This record gives sequence, C-alpha cells and structure tokens, in this order.
Amino acid sequence: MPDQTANVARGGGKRWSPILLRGLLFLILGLFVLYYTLPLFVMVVTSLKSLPEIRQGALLGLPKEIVLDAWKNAWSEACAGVTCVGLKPYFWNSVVLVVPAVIISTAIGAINGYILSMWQFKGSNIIFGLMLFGCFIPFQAVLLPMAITLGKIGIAGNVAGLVLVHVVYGIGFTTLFFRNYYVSVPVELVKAAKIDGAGFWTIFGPILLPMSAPVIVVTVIWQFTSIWNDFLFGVSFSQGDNQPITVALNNIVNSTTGVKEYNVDMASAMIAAIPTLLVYIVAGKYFIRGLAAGSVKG
Amino acid sequence: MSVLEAKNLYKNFGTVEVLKDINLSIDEGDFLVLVGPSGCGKSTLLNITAGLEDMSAGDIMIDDAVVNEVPPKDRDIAMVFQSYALYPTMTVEKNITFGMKVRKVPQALRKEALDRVAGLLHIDHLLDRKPSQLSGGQRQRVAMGRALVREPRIFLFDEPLSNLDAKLRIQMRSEIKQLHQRLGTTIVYVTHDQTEAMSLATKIAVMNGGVIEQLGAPQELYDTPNSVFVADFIGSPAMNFIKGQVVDVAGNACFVSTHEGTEVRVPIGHYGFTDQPVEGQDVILGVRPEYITSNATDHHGVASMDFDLTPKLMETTGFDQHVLFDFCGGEIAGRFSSKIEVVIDQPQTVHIDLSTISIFDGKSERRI
Repeated sequence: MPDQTANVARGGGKRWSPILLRGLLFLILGLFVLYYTLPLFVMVVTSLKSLPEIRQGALLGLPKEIVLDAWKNAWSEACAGVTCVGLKPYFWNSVVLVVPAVIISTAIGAINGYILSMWQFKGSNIIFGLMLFGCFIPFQAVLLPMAITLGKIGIAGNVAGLVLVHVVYGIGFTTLFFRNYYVSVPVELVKAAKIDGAGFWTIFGPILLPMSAPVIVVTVIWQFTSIWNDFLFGVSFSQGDNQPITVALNNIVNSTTGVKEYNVDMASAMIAAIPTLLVYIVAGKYFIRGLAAGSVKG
Repeated sequence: MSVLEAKNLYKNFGTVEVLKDINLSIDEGDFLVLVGPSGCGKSTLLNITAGLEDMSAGDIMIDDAVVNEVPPKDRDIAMVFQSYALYPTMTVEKNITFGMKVRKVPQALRKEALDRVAGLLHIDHLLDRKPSQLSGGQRQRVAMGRALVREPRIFLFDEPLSNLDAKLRIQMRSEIKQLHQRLGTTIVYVTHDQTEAMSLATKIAVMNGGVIEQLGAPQELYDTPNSVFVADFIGSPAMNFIKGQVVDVAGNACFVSTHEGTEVRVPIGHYGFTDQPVEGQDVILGVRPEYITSNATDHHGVASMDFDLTPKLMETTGFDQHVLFDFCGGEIAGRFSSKIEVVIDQPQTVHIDLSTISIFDGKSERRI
C-alpha cells in the first residue's frame, strides 16, 4: 500500500518506468531462452528429418515430413565400429551402472554427513576437509592409480569396477551435501533423542532421514547427472559390452560409413541426454530448494 | 537422602574453566532454579546433569549413586529444551510416545500414558498435528508432554520459556508451577530471568563465572544476598548501592558517605554483622528500591531516615512509580506509590527504611 500511494504522489510520468523496466527484463530473459534452446531445437528438428532433407541445408527449418527412422536407428541399429546394435544395450549398461552407484554414494554420504555433523570427534573436521579436497581432484589425476587399484582388487573392466570408481569419486560431494544440511539441524534435537533413549541408528533413521528429503533429492540429481554423463571413467574402466551410453554415443558418432548420418547422431545424443533431462524436470524445484536449504541456516 | 547432588564439579573447555568446584544438592520435590547471566555455566551444568556433556572432574549423583558414566537414557531424567526440539516429521502423538517406543514399552501402556499427559496439558486435540502446525505455546506444551510422559525422577528445563512472548511466558510459568505443586516432582530449571527464578523456585542457585555465588530459598536470596552480585541480580528494579565507610559514632556503628563536601550519615547500629567491620573500613551499603519510599504513606520504623532529594527521572508502572534520585555522587532508585505526585527537579522528602539493608565489604563485595 505505501508503495502505491508513493507512486501516485510522484505523478503519472514515472508510472511507466516500472513497466518499461519489466519489459526490458523479459526481453533480455527471452533472448537468453532463445539462445539456450536453439541448439536443442536444432537437435530435435534434425533428428526428425530425412537425410536428403538435411543435405538441402536448412538447419533451422522445420522438417517437411516427420521421419522417426533416425530414432529407431539410433536405438537399435546404429553401428559403433563393427557392432551394429544401436544404443539400447549401452543404455541399460548405464542404468545398471548409475542406479547402484547413485544409491551407494548417496547412502554413504548421508551417514558420513550425519557423523561429521552430529557425532564430531577429534579430527573429524580434518577428515571433512580432506573429503572436500577430494571434490577438487580432476578425473584425469586419478585414472592411473584407480586403474592399478581396480586391477589389484580384480574388478577392472566390468560394471562393479566402474560403480566403485563413481562411488569413491562421489563420496566427497555427497558427504559435503549431507554434512552441510545436517549442520543446520538443531543439536538439541539430537540431545532430546539421546534422552529419549535413541542410539546412533535410531536418531538417523526415524528422526533425521525423514527430514532429509530436500538434500536427498539434490544429491541424487547431482550424482545421477554426473555419473550418467561421465565419459572419461567410462571409456577408461570399461570394455566392449560393458561400456556406458556416453562411450557408445561417441563411438556411433565417430564411426562413419561414407555418409555422415546427422539425424541418427542427433537422435542418439537426445536418447543419451533424456534421462538427466527427465530427472531435472521431475525434481528440479527440489534441487533449488535443497541447495538453498543447505547453505542458509535456519 | 538427596535426589541430585553435584560434588566438586569442574568443567573446562580447553583452558577456559566453565564450571569451578560446583557443589549442590537437592531433595525430593525441590524446584531448583539455576540462574545467572549468559555464559555463567548454568546450561553446561544442566547438560552435565543430563549426561549430554562430560565433566572434567567431580561427580554427579542421582539418588546417592554416582552416574558420571551412565548414558542420558538410563539416568531417569527428562529434559525440556529452549527450542523445544520436537521431531519435525512426527506428529504430536509420535513425538510424545517416541521415547517409550524406543524403550519398547507395550502399546497399551503407551496409549495410557499418552492420554494421561495429553489430558493434563490440554493437548488432546493436537495429537495428529505436526510441530510446524502448532503455535509457540502449544509446542512448549508438547515438549513438556514428552518429558512428563516418562515420569522421570528429575525434570530438567533449559530456558523453556525464553522463546515465548511476554504474556504467554507468564501463563506457562504458572502452569509449570502448578504442575510442580500437583505432581511434586523434582525439577532443575535453567533461566537467565530472575523473575522466573523467584516465582518458580523452592531453591535458587545464582551462578556467575562458573561458580555458585549463593544457593538458597528465594526469600533468603532477596533478604540476605551473599554478595553484591547476587543483590544486584535478584530483585527488580535492582538494589541501590552506596559506597562509604563504617565509623564509630558514640559507640554506635555508622555508615558515612562523603561526596563533594556533603556528608551523609546513616546509623547502622541495628545491623547484624556476621563479620565485624573495623573502624574506617570501606563498605557498600545496599538498599532495595522497595524500601525507599515517599514519606507521606509510610510509617516510621525503628531504623529509618528521611532525606530531601531531587527526582531526576520517573518511570511509572501503573501500580507504582520508579523514581531516580542523585545521592552521594551516585544514583538511587525508589519505589513510590503512584498516588504520590512526583515532580522532576523538585526536591521532596524521601523515606529510607533501614531495617532491611545489606552491607558488603568494599573490596571483596561479600556480605559482612
């Protein structure tokens, strides 16, 4: 109310400026939307065109006729090197890899975060610091030691090995998320539970875990996206039939038999990107909420 | 036999001594209030009693058994926290029965205990709600319900009312008092609010800098404070302190305060010294504002004096008014009936009742 009266008092001339500013804001935002959706648009459109139509060169044009062949091709026929089975088996490879890796790394992160916030011990902050440090180690730096370790354990080149790599690499992040979330939970809650007779797991299970939905969503999205999209670990620590979808996508795009099938490439890339896209659309609002909840106290 | 006893208790955080040689004991049905300014160690003492923190040295005994190593859940205590600490994802019912569930109390007994407590605290209609759907006062009740349902040997309250608004605080205060009178349980209660301490306690421990300055009944602390700190902390408005010396005037002890050539003499021959002062000893005279009144309404006791003083400031509370005067280089506050007309800067006769004064040593600030 005071704002309105102030506006009226200032006279009619200035009343237009908020509307103009707002218009400008939407214009700029609109341009950004266009800028970011254009590549996606080109991908979708190209994947629905036939090869002859692509060769005509209208990159931004809508397809004259919608052809789904490229998608079918990408899913079950496209060739990577000499094997022509499409993305389908590799898609399931990725699922089989991502699901356990996400679950295990999130679970370990939750327990780590719980201990590092609620059951601090001498040196716990140093351990947390070291784990944080682990987040900043580039993938390339751990390739060789990881390969040796996997070889020694005897799980090199299979899914279990790749799951282990992603779990180990993800623990730093998942611990960080959960620890920062639990630090904002009042300590008195744990004290009350201790007096009620709850132990380590009883405090974690019935009390803290149900409060953790936002941070679980954040962690799952984070881990899902980074593991699904990972290429380097995939290409380094898996072989042949075990390769994840990112590696297969690379192979498909790079195997040409004379003609470059852009529509198939685009469809393959879309197929590889759809799961992460879905995760964002379904859980996106929790993602923002969870990130904020971890950083701002109270 | 005492229900709770602390013996030579010390607590250090690194090099900081938070508690120094704490000794206290309370009996069945006592309501002990630990009161003091923030950082005096009162909450630490409560946490150590609950077993949530370890002591550095000394013993905590419940029913004469040392419980230093006993975990909180086995100490037969229940605690109410300042932030209520209700489990946010559980309903009121689950909050209250969680402890019993953990201890594997049979379902039927749980239900019975829940009904009893819910009826006692008038929260029957809230049982299905989540804590976020409750008001501050309701959360407070649920937190108390969670403690009550346990029927513990000792209740521990950690500043339970400080998050409530003034009116609700007074209401909950009297409810806690009623509960104590009805159930006769032993309570240890931490607060920084002396009014709360005075109105609730059967025993008050005033703490300062990690030591107990004085332990006693509320009236005892009010009438005969052990030190300037206790005298200043207990009572509102605070006690007036005037610096001066003790001199012998014709065989009678007399308090003399000199400021810029004017000398004020107060006869203190009637005062029961526990520690006889020497001639000329620096002392602090303490008089509560309640005994500094207007001449018009009060009778003259055996030991009383009249002064002509100039009011500097006046605050009315409705029932009475607090008036501030310049006196001997300092200020003293008096409590006048609101029926008396007080005019700022217009001198008037002020009557000081000397039968209830306190005298402290000038250096140690202890009562003599």
